[in-house]
Amino acid sequence: MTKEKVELYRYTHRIEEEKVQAFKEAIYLNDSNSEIPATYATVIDFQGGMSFEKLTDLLTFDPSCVLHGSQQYEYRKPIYIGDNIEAVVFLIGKTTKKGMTFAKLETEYNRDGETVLVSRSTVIEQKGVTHV
Amino acid sequence: MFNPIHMTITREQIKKYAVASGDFNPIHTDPEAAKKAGLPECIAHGMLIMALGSRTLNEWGVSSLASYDARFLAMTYPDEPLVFRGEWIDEKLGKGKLTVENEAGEVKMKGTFIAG
Repeated sequence: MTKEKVELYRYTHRIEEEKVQAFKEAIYLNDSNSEIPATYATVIDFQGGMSFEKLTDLLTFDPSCVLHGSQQYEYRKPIYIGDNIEAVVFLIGKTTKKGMTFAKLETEYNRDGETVLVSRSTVIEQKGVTHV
Repeated sequence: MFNPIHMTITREQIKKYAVASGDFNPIHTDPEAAKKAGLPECIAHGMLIMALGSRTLNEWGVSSLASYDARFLAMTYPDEPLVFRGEWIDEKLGKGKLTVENEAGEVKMKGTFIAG
């Protein structure tokens, strides 16, 4: 079991209008707000460098049976189209029980050196999954 | 108590969300990969349910958030009718909860939020 907070990966991502629009369309959100939607950090992750393959590689998880157990966001400052965000991902803990491995991740999203958003998530590797 | 909102997620919407988010975990879009993982078919992204939950919060008038947490408790399948229910835990503090379940009452997601 890993207990200490270990930096896993960092990447930068620029918030682009057309990607924000595509995300809004995918969730049928109609607004002209320049602030990103509440769960848009998932785009910063997957398109900024922490792709699904990268994530499973870093966690040494079998990519064929990975589930998302929980997600938390702490919003400190609004993030807008045009912002450049640096994301720093930490592995907080990794535990295996009953054939399931739970990885706890914390990601800090920084703009100009200031943390504007914090994400905490649990990702699960479960062989032959039948339920979450 | 907020007005419950009914929604159904289609396969097309799951694909659209995969492209928009960049989350290409194959259990969401590839039926063979889903079967290999022991699932009867592709499942919706937990993050899609959470994103739709945030849209629901907007519709309930909660437009700005200080925090938003979700636990994904059961698989959500395409074309499964869902109901999003929410209520204040403490309106003065802006603290509320949100639950997503199917028509049979199976809870898919339990969330809490603090308006801010």
